[in-house]
Amino acid sequence: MLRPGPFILALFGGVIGSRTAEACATCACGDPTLTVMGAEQPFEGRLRLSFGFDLRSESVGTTRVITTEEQRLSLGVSYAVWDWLQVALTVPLARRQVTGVDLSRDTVYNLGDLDLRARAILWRDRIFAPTHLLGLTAGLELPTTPRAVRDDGTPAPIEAQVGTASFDPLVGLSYAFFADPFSFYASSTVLVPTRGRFDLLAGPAWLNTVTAQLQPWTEVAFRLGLDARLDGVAREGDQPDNDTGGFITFLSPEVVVSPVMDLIVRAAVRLPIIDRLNGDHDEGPMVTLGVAYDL
Amino acid sequence: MISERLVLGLLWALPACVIHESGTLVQIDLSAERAIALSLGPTVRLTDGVLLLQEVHLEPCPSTAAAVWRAFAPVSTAYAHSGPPPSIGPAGQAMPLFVPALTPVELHPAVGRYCGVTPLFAPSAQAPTLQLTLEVDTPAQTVRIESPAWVRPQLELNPPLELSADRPEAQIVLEVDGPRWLEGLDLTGTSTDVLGAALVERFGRALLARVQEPTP
Repeated sequence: MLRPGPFILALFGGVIGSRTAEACATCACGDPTLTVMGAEQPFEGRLRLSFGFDLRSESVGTTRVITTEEQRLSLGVSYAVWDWLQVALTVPLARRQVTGVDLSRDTVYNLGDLDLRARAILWRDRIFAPTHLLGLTAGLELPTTPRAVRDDGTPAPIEAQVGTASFDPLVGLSYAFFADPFSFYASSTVLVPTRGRFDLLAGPAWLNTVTAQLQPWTEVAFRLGLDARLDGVAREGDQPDNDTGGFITFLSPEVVVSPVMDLIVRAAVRLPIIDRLNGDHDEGPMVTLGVAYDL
Repeated sequence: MISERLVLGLLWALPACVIHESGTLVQIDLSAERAIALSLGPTVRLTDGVLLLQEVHLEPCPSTAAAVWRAFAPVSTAYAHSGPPPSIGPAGQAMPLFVPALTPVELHPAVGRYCGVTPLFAPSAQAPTLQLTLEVDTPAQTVRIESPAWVRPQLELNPPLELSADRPEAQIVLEVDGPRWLEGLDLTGTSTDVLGAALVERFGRALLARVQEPTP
């Protein structure tokens, strides 16, 4: 039988609501399913509620530098239909502030693109307390972001929109390994955005997460991971945005705490260590806080 | 129980909240004296005048290192101006010489120091670069000029224009030195085409740029 401590904490390896948007259309990193669904084998009928808070910044462009600061709250709910299939819905709410070189500023509070995902367990080495777990994830981001419009009726710039408002299908594989007090998780996901209502076509994105966990105590675990992203160039209208796309890798240390049964609290930072983004595009460190509770 | 559809509908109905704050603002104005007394000729009265501005660039002050390099470099090197993009539409913007423009020329450049301004006066498909009506007192004559010639003077801003969060707005006045513009021209005996081209070319040389505090 699984011990609850490592089991629960291992669920929480990744990124709470770390999908961020858009202008840097796929400035996502990590694997959000770890938060909403967890990495472990699901219990049939389990319902999980979660929310995450992400803080990030970036700057894009040369003659028209745009500095973006974003705080994003992600409300998630997941349900294990069977012990091999989970479905999840994430609702992002964001405050995004973009500042131009001319000091003009737009601050937008808005709903983002809803994220629907399902994960099926493809293989496990045993029914109970598996050591190896292989999963397949498929999902779709929905074009639910309303267009942010200024008081004078003009739309806020694309950089200020908190989502692409597009149908973005995704598919990925994940692998989890449990050997108390250690665990390991890896996932690789491909996101293929379509053109959205804002006439933005984000580039395809390949998102990869590798993270290792040490849980010296039942209530506390430490994690160290790498989150890498390879993006294609986005197109705004017919024009490619040369300050999008490229490769970036973050080093992601974090602490996970379970103060009471079924409750997980985590804090992580994500530090860019390899930056091969195209053009003039810099992403700063990210801060991630999250809470999840199993009902 | 609240259905999922209702929750999603409510979320969708939430209006996005947008707070927009204006940034920098630089207005470009043109200024000229109506009466110009020429030392070697008649007194000229400009009764009407409009120039068509197609582009205007603010030139950032060079960094100290770049200035030192250009001063002492053994070979000449080119450097690109990285001013903000022009904010004028394809039809250009008419700038009256004597009255404020109906639609002022406005730029929203990056904060920083600017040591120069480069306007481009050029024709559009609909209008010439220069439309000028002037009266000469001896011999009394009215001359009307239209010219499609173009000119792109590079004007120094001294003291420089400085834009910051504390001083986000400013005004640049392009002043026409009348005598320098018209001195020596044969305003009545030259064909209008030749005179028009000369007026546009010399207009560029007669311009001075200065920064002044924005009018409230």
